[in-house]
Amino acid sequence: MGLKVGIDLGSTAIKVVFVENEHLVWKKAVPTTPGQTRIADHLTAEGLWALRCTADTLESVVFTGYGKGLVNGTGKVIDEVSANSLGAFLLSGGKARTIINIGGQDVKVIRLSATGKLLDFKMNDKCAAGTGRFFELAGRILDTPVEIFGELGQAVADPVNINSTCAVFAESEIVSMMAKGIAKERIIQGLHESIARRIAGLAGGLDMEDDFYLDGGSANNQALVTAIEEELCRDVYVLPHPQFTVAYGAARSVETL
Amino acid sequence: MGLHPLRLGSGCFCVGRLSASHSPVLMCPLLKATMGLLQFQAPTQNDTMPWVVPTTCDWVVKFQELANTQPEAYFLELPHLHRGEKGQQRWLEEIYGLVRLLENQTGRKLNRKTLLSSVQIFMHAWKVFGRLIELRRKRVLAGVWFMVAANSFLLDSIEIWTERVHQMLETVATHPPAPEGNGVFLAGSPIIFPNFKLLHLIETAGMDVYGDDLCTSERIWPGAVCYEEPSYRGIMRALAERYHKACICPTFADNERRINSILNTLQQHHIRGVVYHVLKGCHPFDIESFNLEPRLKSRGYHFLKIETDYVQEDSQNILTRLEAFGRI
Ligand code: SF4
Repeated sequence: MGLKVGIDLGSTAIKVVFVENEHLVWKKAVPTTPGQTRIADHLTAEGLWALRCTADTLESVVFTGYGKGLVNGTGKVIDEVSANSLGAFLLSGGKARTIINIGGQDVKVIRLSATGKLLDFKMNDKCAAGTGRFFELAGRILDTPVEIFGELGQAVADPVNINSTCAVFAESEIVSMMAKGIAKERIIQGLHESIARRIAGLAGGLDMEDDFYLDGGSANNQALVTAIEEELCRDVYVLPHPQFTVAYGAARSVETL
Repeated sequence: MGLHPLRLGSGCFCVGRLSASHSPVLMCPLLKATMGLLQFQAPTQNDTMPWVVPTTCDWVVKFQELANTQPEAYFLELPHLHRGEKGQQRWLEEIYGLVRLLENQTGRKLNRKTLLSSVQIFMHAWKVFGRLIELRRKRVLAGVWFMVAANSFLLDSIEIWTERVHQMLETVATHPPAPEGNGVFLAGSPIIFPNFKLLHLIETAGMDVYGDDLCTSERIWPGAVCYEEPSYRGIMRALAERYHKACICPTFADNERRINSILNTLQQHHIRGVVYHVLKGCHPFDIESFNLEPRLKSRGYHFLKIETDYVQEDSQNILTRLEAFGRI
């Protein structure tokens, strides 16, 4: 069998997928640490071992993400916006027209054509507000794992209003709210709403079209999804493995590269 | 009059840091760097000569107050409506005022002959610049090298600049053109050496700049000065018109020609998209982007706005956007 490997070397996590025909047959994510080539090699070997395959079954390896230029290897490279577009389009069965990606240090809103062609996109500049890193920061201040943010935020009826769009100011806003004794659930839901507003602002300049898909590590946070739906007044769908969409797109990109 | 203008704008991040403690955080980085440069090293040519400051944007107007350097600035009051007779007349008066100032400073008189010979010198430079543009459009000269040559204008005497660029072109013209690639048009806030970050990133993303409308590059040369009568007054009027009425800087209020000029270049040279550079704090170009983006997109051109300053830390983020832009 021919295996296509996609490796997304993101700023906070490295994600690897193995694809056989069009099926995602193995995936793994590890936190980003120095030594991208070594980690990529190691994860590829691990995937082969898990699938009981040998290296000669590898049909292709494609790198994407911020670290793609740091790996020494024979694989191809693709930019992350294109990989994201392709991955979400294919995994949604050709339905995705607008993708919202919340990555480790950026947020993207991507517009696709009916054939999956990248039409336009918007991406935040260097400010970390609304990104995965922002969630991590908030998690640390609130002493709460980000994985349960969704669960905690969902039940809240009166979230606080977090005004800052700057990650640093938002951090001090959170600290002062905690000092006033405001429940962390209300702060968390306030964060979700502030991120949803930021995404809506980013998407504002784009000629958006249904269907909307959210991906990236934060997409499993249902409270965030609801906040985005409210802000955009549209249904937002989440793909089964949202953290791996970009790596999947990279793996499948060999069919078009 | 035997004088030579020097451009003071700086693109150096390091000197910009020198002025950081006594300038607004969101100040235009170009002027911040210029301020730092003036602290670090006073203008070299002649310390007694005035700075001539056309009142373009608010940052420029307040620059002297912030920089607090000697000699004092001489403000050329720029009428921001430049299509009408009133604005043009006022501008002409400003130019006459500048002549009086320079005559007082030097003790020399500007006359028709010296004015004509200066116009001729600039005509030669303009021809060389036209050839520079042509070679870039033909992909013989990479965008980044074009920018180096354009940026060196007003750093030395105009005759030396013309001669050196001419020599360079003689050599470069024999080179084969680069293969047809992914050409973009660069618009927006000025890019000044050594801050070529955006140009390098555009090249790293597999694209090249085939044309631009930066005031430190292609827009330095709006075209030849055309006078109807070669009298002193006739040449003065033509000069004033050339650098005011014909100028398409976004600080003007009546500036429809600017968008048309960008559209013309895109169409004529089959360029598919515009990378729009906004220096953080540069309001005129930022404001303009909101008008330009829908106008370009409605005609099928791609548009990518990059808001940045002189730091390197956002390079990866910008590169990600440029790479995707190159694939649209
Ligand atoms: S127009 Fe923009 S780049 Fe030029 S001086 Fe003003 S703020 Fe700076």
